[in-house]
Amino acid sequence: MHGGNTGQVLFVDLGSGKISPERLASQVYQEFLGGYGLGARVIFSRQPKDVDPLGPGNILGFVTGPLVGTPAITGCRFTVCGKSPLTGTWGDSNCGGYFGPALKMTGYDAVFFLGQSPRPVYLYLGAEGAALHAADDLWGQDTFATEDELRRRHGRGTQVAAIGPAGERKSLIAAIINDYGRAAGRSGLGAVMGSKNLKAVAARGTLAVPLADPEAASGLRRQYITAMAKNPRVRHFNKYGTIDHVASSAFSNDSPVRNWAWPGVDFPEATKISDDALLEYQYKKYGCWQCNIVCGGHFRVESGPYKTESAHKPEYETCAMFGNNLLNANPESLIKINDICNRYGVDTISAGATIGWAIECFEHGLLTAADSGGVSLEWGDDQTIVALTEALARGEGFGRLGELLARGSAAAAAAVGRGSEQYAIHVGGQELPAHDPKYAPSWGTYYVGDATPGRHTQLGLVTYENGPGLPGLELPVHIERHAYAGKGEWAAKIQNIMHAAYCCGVCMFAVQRMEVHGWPEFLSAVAGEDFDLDDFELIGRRVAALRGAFNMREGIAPKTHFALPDRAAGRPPLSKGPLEGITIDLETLTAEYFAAQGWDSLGRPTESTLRDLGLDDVADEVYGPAGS
Amino acid sequence: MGRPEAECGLLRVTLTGEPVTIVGGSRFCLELAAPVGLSELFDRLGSEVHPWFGALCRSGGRLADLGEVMVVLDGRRLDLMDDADLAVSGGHLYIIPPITGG
Repeated sequence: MHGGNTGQVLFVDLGSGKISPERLASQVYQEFLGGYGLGARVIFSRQPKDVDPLGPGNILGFVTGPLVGTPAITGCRFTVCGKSPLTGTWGDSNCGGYFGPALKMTGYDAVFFLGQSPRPVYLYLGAEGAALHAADDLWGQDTFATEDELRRRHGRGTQVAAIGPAGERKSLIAAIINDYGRAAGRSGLGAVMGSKNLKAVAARGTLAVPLADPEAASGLRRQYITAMAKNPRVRHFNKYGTIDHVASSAFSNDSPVRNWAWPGVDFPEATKISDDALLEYQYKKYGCWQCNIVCGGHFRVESGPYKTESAHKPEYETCAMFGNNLLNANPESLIKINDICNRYGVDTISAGATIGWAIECFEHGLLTAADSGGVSLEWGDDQTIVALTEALARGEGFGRLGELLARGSAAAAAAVGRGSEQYAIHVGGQELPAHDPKYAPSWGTYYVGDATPGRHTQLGLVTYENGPGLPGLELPVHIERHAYAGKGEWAAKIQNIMHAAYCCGVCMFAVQRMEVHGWPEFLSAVAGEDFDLDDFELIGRRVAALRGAFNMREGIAPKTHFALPDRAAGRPPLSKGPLEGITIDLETLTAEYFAAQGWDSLGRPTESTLRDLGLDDVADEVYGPAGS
Repeated sequence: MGRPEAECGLLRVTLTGEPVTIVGGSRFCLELAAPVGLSELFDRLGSEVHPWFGALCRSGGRLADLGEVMVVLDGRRLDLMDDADLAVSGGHLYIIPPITGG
């Protein structure tokens, strides 16, 4: 590839302090693009199996993509990746804001951290080069103070991705925060930073990203911005962002309500924490780097117990997990909770789910006032939920609950036992996001079939089960929401295309709203080589197989390790509401999906699939040398 | 017929998501003097509130540019085709567009 990527990545050994730039072969970019594709390729080759995710052997990558920092629509995303301490599987988490382009413009497509530093450090990347700096004075600071201080030291153009106290304490649900509230939240990778004594990565990029055909790329940008501006779905999303459907999701039961146990029609108060009701707190809009959708915002609560000077607009996931899921209808509490989680560096999805687990345990006497410092935990009690969130983020307080809940729901349930496990709604250790497979069954396919279990960003065929699909890509069959047979081929195809788009470094929301052929068009203009949608599908299939092989090497197979919780599958089904009586046939969905990907019945990529995709070294490692 | 929720009569209609932008409001109230069929109800919404409701009904609940729209009356999911003749005399009607993540 001639453009898009710089061709160079950085390896930082935190044990020795050695910083080593390295050029990657062009073929690596052609085959994996960037993001978690490139990350998986590099990490699989350089990291042995069975490393402790919180030990020095776990390699942590911050990876951009070939469309990051280019004229491509939403070309701003970066992916953090490594072995997840939350699930023990391949882990990745994707984030927007301004950090991705800043990293790319330092001249590196990615930074990989090896080893563990003996003391807190941060990495600074800028025109002066790359250097590790002491971070003893930053350790213990929240992510906002850290960002402020690093911007003061290195200049206003510096972009910072940092952990807060939760990551420092190695909370398994710790997030990495940039831009005062954009979160790479999933997979617990903030804990990996903490384990490495790596407080932050600060990037001040000043170099232009090489473009093969800048005029063509700019022309495509104008073309697609014009088209999207006419699209009412884009205009609606510009106004509301993801909070437009907190109530929709409750009433349709897309969202969990009362820890996945209730029909959403029993929570009519969801309208108080959705769309216009929340938008009243917005005082200015926010958009990621060069984004034309601009779905974000800055919120303010002027007075009262949840007074907040300025905070990012909470996303749907946060409102659903701390609102609908906990029967909490106080919008100001959600803004405060979002701010707490961003400052301490905590994943709001996992945190909301874990508090739901705690409240239900309290309801059933599995946790008592003796555990919670004398405080009673009740559904919809916003004051207690906010206080409990802060205790979780601090890892202390509320009796022993602060420390217990900071582990996430699966580990907390394992510690409590006595049947509390049934109230921990997770797959493979990762709490489910706020989309119910009973509403769109392909969520279930990806929750258990993807290498990072329980992820809402892997939505593939959901866009067709439940919407018009990817713009410009009509399938030859009608995808019926609650039909199960015949979906596997399409579930694999659409997810693989989305894998490739994500690996380019673009936003999920744009992928759902922009003509899909535009993504390979942008990549062709930027890279100087022709790509089409078939190439994207093949690259995505390769990336999916490699991530699956990572898990396979760890002895993990989807079928044996990832189980969908009964409540999410509809066992037993809900007794009322729009999803009344529905139990999904996950067996058929996953069997067909695995077959379509070229994986075995346990969901592991077969040897022939790996070799067909050019992953011979991977096949050699997980199956032994060819012919052996 | 389309009136603010504060003056609500027999049937409350709550719109969510993208249709709010299309229709220009999220909550309406209809006074139903007598039960009407579901299909007729959407025709009335189409003529008296916004043509989008009529288009939705004619599409059978699946609009090309939006996808499958969920219609829920008092907690029960309705099918605009199969339940076209269902008599509606009041209650709370939710009209929910497809949700595909976020």
